[in-house]
Amino acid sequence: MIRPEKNPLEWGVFVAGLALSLGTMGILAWDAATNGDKPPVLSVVLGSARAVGSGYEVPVTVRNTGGETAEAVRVEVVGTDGRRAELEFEFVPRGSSREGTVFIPNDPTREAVSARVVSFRKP
Amino acid sequence: MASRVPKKPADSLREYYRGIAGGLLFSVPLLYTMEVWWSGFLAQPLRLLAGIGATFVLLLGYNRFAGLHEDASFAEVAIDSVEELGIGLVLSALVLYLTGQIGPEVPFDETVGKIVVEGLVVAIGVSVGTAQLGAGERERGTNVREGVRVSLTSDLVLGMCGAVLLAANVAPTDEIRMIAAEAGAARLLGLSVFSMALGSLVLHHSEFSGSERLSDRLRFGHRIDSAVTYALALAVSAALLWFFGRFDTAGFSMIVSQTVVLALPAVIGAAAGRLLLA
Repeated sequence: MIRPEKNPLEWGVFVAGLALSLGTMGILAWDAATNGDKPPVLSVVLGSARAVGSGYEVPVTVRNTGGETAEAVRVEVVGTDGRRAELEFEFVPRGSSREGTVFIPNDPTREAVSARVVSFRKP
Repeated sequence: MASRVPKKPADSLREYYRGIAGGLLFSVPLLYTMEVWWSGFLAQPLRLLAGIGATFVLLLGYNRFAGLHEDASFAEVAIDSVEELGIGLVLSALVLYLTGQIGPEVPFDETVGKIVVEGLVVAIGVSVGTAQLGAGERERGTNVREGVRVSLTSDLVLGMCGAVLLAANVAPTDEIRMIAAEAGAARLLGLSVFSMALGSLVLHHSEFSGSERLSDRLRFGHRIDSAVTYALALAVSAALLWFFGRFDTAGFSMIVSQTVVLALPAVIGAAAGRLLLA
């Protein structure tokens, strides 16, 4: 085969393009091999509360450690007095987390507050 | 052939600029569509790999039949295709970063997915832009295009590139699903007939530039040629919908309906591609 005539700039772009394309494909192949088609696995973590106005704001983090994206993830936060707050995340992609905040009237530092994932959809 | 002189760096730089312009010209609607960002993390990695493979084959085909001079070796065609894929990925990453869709706070998998989904169409745009937007080179005669290799394969490849460029912009949107679900069978049949007529109109009845060249190389009549173009559009449309996950939970009739809905932009792209991209 005849060696194609290319100037250094073109060789540079080619080598960078080759590295980028092969690298991307490698990452995807590795991802496919390790993740497969595992369903979403969701967990909720509450952050430390902060007083605002007449209530408290509590940061909520949802993490998806499964192999597929979860859509319309609804999280419920319940205080000991039974008052609840709810928030929904449009998407929680695989291997990702999403953050939000709920507002509750009672002091979460003195009262127990629990959180759980109520539901999600398969996209 | 062995004595071909390399281009001056300034010339190839201009070519890259053209590629960048072309890449964005065709794909900026896609970069600004949220369903496309989503499909970056919705798509399974194997599907993204299949997308890269299919895009690379299209790039090879386009560079073979339209992008490079006629006697380009396979190595040259492959090198250009790799360059274009790389430019596509970098451009996609840059625009996604500037629009806040990727960044340090976005997880790695999600970042890669978004860049790949967007980058593929950008890469085809880069390829077409590099070949099509240049004015000077044809006159200087460094890019021999007059004797384009015309064959069934070249027609198919150019038609596919055109169809992908046009249809990819709407394929991932919810509107396709909505129209497919709500339009009803009679309307969809009408849409299908209209699409076929559109293809025929572009190819044979509008004297688009390139249509003279086309009629010289037709081996079938106009009607069959238009039907084949529509079939190509349906195939591209189905492939794009599968890639964007639109078939994942769809029943048979939704699969057919969505394909017909997307085949309208695809057939315009395919017809125009066959005429103009050569």
